[in-house]
Amino acid sequence: MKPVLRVQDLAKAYRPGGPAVAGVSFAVAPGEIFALLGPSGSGKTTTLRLIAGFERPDRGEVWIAGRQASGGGRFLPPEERGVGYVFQDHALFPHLTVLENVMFGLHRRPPRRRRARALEVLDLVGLTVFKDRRPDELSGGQQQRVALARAIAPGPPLVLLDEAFSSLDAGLREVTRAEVRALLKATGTSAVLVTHDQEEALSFADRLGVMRAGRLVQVGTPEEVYHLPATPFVARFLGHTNLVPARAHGDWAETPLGRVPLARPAEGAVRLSIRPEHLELLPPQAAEGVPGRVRSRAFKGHDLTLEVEAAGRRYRVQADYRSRFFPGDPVRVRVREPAVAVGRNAEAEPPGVKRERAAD
Amino acid sequence: MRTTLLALLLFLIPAALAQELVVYSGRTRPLVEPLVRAFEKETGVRVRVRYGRDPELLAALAEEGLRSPADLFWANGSAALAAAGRLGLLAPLPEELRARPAAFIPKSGRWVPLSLRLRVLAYAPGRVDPGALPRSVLELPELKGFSGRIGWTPGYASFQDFVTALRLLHGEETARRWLLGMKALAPKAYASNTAMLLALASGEIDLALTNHYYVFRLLKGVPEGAYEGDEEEEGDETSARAPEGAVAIHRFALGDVGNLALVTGGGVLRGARHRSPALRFLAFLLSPKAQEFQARSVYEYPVVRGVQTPPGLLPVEEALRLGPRIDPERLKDLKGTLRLLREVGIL
Amino acid sequence: MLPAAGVAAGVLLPLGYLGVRALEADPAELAALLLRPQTLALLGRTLGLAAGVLAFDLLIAWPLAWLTVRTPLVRVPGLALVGALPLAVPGYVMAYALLALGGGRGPHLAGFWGALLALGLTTYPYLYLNLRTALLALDPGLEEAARSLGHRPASVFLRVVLPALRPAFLAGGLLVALHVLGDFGVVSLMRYPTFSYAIYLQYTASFDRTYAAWLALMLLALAALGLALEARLLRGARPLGRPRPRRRPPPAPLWATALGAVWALLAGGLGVGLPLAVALRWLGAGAGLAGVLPAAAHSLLASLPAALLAALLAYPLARLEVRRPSPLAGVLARVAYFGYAVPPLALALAWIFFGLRAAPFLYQTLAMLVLAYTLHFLAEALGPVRSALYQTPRGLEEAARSLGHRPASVFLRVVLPSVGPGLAAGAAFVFLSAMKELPLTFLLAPLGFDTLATNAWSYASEAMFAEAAPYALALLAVSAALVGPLLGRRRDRR
Repeated sequence: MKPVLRVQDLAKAYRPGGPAVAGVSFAVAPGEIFALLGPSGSGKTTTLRLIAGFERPDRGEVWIAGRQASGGGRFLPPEERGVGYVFQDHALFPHLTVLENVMFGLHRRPPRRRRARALEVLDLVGLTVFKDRRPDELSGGQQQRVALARAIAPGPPLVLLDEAFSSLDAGLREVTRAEVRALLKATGTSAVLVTHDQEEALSFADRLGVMRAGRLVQVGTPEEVYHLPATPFVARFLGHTNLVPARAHGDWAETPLGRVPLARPAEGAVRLSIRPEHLELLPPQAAEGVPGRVRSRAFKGHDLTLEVEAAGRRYRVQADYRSRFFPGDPVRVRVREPAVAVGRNAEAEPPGVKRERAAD
Repeated sequence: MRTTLLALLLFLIPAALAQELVVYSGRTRPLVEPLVRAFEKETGVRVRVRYGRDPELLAALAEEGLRSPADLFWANGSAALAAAGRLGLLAPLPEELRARPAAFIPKSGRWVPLSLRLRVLAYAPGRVDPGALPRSVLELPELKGFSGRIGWTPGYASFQDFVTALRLLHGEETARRWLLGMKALAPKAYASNTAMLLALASGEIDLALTNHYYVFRLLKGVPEGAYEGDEEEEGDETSARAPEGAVAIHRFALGDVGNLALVTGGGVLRGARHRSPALRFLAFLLSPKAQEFQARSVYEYPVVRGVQTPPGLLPVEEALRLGPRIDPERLKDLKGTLRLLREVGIL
Repeated sequence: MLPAAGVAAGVLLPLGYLGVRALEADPAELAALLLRPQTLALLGRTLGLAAGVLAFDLLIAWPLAWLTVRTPLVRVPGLALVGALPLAVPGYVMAYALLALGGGRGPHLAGFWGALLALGLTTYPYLYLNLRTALLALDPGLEEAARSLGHRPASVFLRVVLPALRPAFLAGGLLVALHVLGDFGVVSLMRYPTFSYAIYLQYTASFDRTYAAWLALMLLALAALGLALEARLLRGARPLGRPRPRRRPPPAPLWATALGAVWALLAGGLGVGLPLAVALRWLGAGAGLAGVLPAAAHSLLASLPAALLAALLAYPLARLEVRRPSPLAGVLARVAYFGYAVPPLALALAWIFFGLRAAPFLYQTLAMLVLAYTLHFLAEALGPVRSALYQTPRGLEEAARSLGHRPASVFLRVVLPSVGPGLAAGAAFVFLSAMKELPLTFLLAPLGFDTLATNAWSYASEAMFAEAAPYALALLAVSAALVGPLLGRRRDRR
């Protein structure tokens, strides 16, 4: 199947020396939801604006629905790309009602059909009763849904969502996200979501790409990227992890926590990413694991985060609510799942002398 | 705290409390100030002046009534003075003062003329043959060749005074015919004589119905003459804006209404708190020296016989005879003039 | 509420006087004066001129505002002055300048076009400064959203930008229109008789105050019409709200910047450079400088307090309108425009009328002049203060109160810093207008209190241009020196 969006070697620099986007390539299949995840300043919003045509790329190509939108001397203005865009702050037209906002992009349809289509979409987002209100009379969540309705009303094959949920409060965010996802899936619309929130990217997207300093570091399904991070950065950005120096020997490695199986074969001095939930605490008298001591314990309701010092390093350990260990208790630490080698290790061998922040 | 109070107090002190002479002047500062300074020097009386325009000041005087701080109303035109008299704002003047001017003394006796301005026809010598210009203003509408090339100021008090005089001396019907005849020549209406004369000098028009001193001021500028200044100084420091010869004056025959004399004057207010300095000031303004200064500095004709006029201006006696002799207060029917101007569609 | 009502009452005071005088009219005379076909023609001409000046101002102000906000032109020093200083140019100076420009050879700038140019070049800052503020607050995301919804730039401008700037257009346009309605000086020099000028002539010819009162009432009726129109057009318009965190400034192509520079140069050259050049040309030998300093001191003494007071009084009015919007608040705020629309002569007479009766100790004092300036020009301060309030978070004052500050302390420590730029801009407007004011100064100033404006006018009206020049130049210089930093600082805060 032909992709709805293909981005090829896209680059843009605002000022010399600091490229905002440098050589980004990815594709989005029909009906697929793609997320661009990265810290602020990583170039993800610029990528989105390059796709929408709000900015001209310095280099590279953008293909939308099989049509070249940027590159090769072509540059389609935003209005000719047929792409929906949802802004972080919604950018609703303050002088128009909700219905008029949604009808705004339907100006090329016959007048009779505009209203019908707008009402149809408003019904989809459950805002029909608010159709005559002004944006400033709506709550944040309602505004968000109007913005989405406005973007999808013209029936674009692709919708771009720029931090679309970040202005909502936590509870509302989760619900809205699920609704929007369902809506996109129901209409078969492809989407690219830009976010700095890993949980949002993981739960919302079919596939995601992690960006750093203008480059796409890794692309994959949420599971792939979470479980098999390509770099320490990706490992850390997608949740907490312990980065541990090790020496790899094919499908296993020697670590301060003993021998650990590897999810991906590697050789030589490496750094391993060991997720906190992959560590297990055992009583000091247990036969397995290496000895250590609990340093802190943070209760989180459904689970617990403990910090444990073992072999001169601190480790973050995820335990369930039944954990009986408290600060000061002696324990043994065991790795219970294969670890991932995320890069070469710069530290001197043998590992375990220098203290490193266990998690961040 | 004390300084604040003091400052506040100073801020609130009404200037009118000063025990001197308060003049409301419809004439502008440059025309008035040298004379005021000279009077102050001569008499030691301190003079405070509120400058403005006749209509505004008259309205203020009417509003203030007897509470007005003003002692003297020095107006640019006789109409405002006549109106002030009608409104009962002016006190009768002593006979001795009223006898000083040689002519144009109003019968009401409530104000005296202080200088004269003559209506004239200004023309551009380069484009107009003075020999072709008529002996009477009444024949002006016959100059068909100047269609669209004549300027006038229908909204200006001087012009309206002239129309009033025309009605008075030649009858309503002649005035109407004259206005219609002029209107047929498509004259350009200006609301300022200065602007009109600039237009005349620049070639926008060839003829302009105006007052004599505007022409002099345009050609020679107004000398920033000190009252005590010597003769050599004259004409030196000017703000002339048109070269000599760009504009000239045509005078109609003796006694023609086209040469109408317009009168500036002053009267003492009924509620004046400083009546005697006010009278003294009027007497001063009618003194030969002040009259001569006025002629020299602003090119207005004296109203007192025997005063020397500067070169270019006519001798006083001739100027006094040039226009028709009428009581300036008889030019009061402005409403009738306005009605006529409205009827013929000029205003 | 109470302070706002007090200010409104002060502004409305003259109406009482006008009522008293208007009732003295002879009905037949009045009917003859008002109910003639020419009245209609004059009305049409007046409205035509107002519309023309508005269109002209828009032509200058809109590109200038857009270019200064959306291109690197923002950084050009002196631009703030180009945008504001023409307000300090007396209309008659601009008229003289244009007449002189016409000269003998060039096009004759008189009549409708002359009046339009002179009025337009002295009023465009009202529109420019309002549009600029609005444009700064306009979220570029709105334009992008419209583009992504398939609208071409022209359509985006018509359907998104224009509606968003509507309140700014209306606020600035109202001031311009009222200014044109009330103008005597320019239309008389340009011999383009408008409604108010024609009736003023009637009055000066008959010396009947009744006509002055009727003139004022008719102008007020026109102004009321304008205000009603504005309120109607404003309906449904939404305040732009707080500026969002600024997005990256939209890319400014080089040609746009160049065009902007040319436009600013043109506007500045005509609006400031032309009167300046004329005044400099007037400046000849023998121009006395002795009187300039005291006159400048007088000008400042009257205009500065008036400017500050107007800004302070505008605050409660604007606050009521912005924070507690209600029909009454809207009416109270619009009352300020009445004070602006009352012709200065009628206003001065009203002050004489009430001053002598109610507060004779204030009569012809500086305090009275300052008060008259303030209430007359209040409307000019209202717009900037209102915009600043719209952009200040609503909870700010409440937060300060909850932290234990009294209202006065809240005003000093919270309101002033945040609304300060708006107050400064409002004060700047009033200052510039007061500096060049004539009729109120003539009639209400203390005796012998001559200002730069009255002196420049006195000399110019006697064709003593060389003597007028130093006063006119000082007027521009003092205005620029005071207003430049005020508006410049405001720009830095952005």
